[in-house]
Amino acid sequence: MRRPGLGYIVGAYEHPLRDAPDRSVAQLHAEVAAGALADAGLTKDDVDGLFCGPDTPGTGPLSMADYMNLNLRHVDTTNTSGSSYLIHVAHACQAIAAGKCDVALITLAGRPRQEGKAKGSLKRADNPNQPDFEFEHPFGIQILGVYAMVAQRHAHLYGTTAEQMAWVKVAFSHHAQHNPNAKLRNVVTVEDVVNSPLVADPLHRLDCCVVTDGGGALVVTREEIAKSLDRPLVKVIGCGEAPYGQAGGYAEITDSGARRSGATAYAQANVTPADIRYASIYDSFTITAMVQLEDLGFCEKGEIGAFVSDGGLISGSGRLAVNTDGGGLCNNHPVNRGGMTKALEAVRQIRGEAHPAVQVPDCDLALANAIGGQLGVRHASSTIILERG
Amino acid sequence: MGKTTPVMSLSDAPMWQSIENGKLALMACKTCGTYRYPPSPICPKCLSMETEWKPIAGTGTILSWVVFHRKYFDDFPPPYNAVAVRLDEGPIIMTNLVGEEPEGSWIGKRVSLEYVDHDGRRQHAARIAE
Repeated sequence: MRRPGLGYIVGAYEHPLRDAPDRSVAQLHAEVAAGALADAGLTKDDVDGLFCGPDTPGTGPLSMADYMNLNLRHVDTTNTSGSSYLIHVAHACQAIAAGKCDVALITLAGRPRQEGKAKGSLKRADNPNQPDFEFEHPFGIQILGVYAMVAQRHAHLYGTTAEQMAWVKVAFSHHAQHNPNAKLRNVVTVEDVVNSPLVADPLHRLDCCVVTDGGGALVVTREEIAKSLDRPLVKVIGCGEAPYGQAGGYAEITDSGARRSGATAYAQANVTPADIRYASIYDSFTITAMVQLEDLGFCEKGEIGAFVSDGGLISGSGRLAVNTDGGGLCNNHPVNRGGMTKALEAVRQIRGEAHPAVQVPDCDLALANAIGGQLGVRHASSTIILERG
Repeated sequence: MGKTTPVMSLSDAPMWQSIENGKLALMACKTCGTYRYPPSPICPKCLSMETEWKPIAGTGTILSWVVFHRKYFDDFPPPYNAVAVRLDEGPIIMTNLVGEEPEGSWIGKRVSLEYVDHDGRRQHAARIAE
């Protein structure tokens, strides 16, 4: 017995560009906002709630609300890095239920390729005044170094191999060949991944996501409005959010907040992992998706290597269709934040609007999960579960 | 590009001073005795604000490691490594392994801390224990 919809996603739009040298960040936000509203069949005058992260230029939501001339009665700038945008979906549902807004707009956009972040050569983006910064940074530790440590330890504890990790990239590349907007559309093999240059042992170049400009937007509303629109109904039935930290230096680095955010969302939706037909899983690196998949209960902890092997994540032939847009590893990773794009492909799957080659037949239940921050040290996981209305 | 740049804040200065002195000290809770890292204003176990800086033995076990093959910082030419060490006092610290690198997996190897000059500053490093 599933629960009633917490809210409905009626608009979803992904910016088609992966390189945006001629657009400002504000313009990208405006374009994705307009795209999602057009997709929903709504106008800017319908929007009364704005949800955004620190990628939005200006002071919180103020500049974009001003540029778009929105008449708002609710704003939310929750920031848990890349997982923010799935939390925004949850918070939009809560705000709608509380009567604080009727039509919530969520945007993400940016142009890291134009700002020098594409080469990994900039110092890590964390605020140097954050208390933990100086206890990792002086030792040359970069964001992907922490993920590499998670991968090394996962291999040590569970025997996970580089070839198994490579299967994640291989699966998403099979999906990306069908996505005309994907940054990388070439199908790769396990050999291609493990023979690509080591970046941070054991992560190879092809274990790492792309860096892209662009963005995306969502529109969330209440049932009556959703049913008045001419779009397939996408119902939010479960949400979870869970920060996970070092606990004073005692936490297990191969665990993630997805265990708690997933359990919360499954309980609210009254479904189990076995019910999920499609999953969007944040994939900054191959290991990132693997840790979330096992913490979300799609397999036992430590068994993800076998689960992803032999095309386990390929739509149609695998064990679970994951990231049918090509994911962050192949499609896009706007602003180096993952949550928005994860929601977008999950909405397409529920609507039946994914590319026919990767569409899950009769996809009535989908999950999207994102990690914001960094596995291993401090992050927040967010989960949403969507059902066809 | 650029160099790594330590930022000194009020609650961290005693740790860097202990490194200068060649004997790493960590915050420990005066109420429950739990060591913690990184430094933080409150005990994550009991929320006590009563804190003291206590020297540690400087021994531990490698929890995980990474070898970077790309250049990210001018003061860390590749290849260079970083290790997460589970100190015998409990917390995990991040540092660099100096000296001989183990064959195969580094995880589980015993290490002892020492103090090295890195680009004009003194910081800790780990070395495989005999």
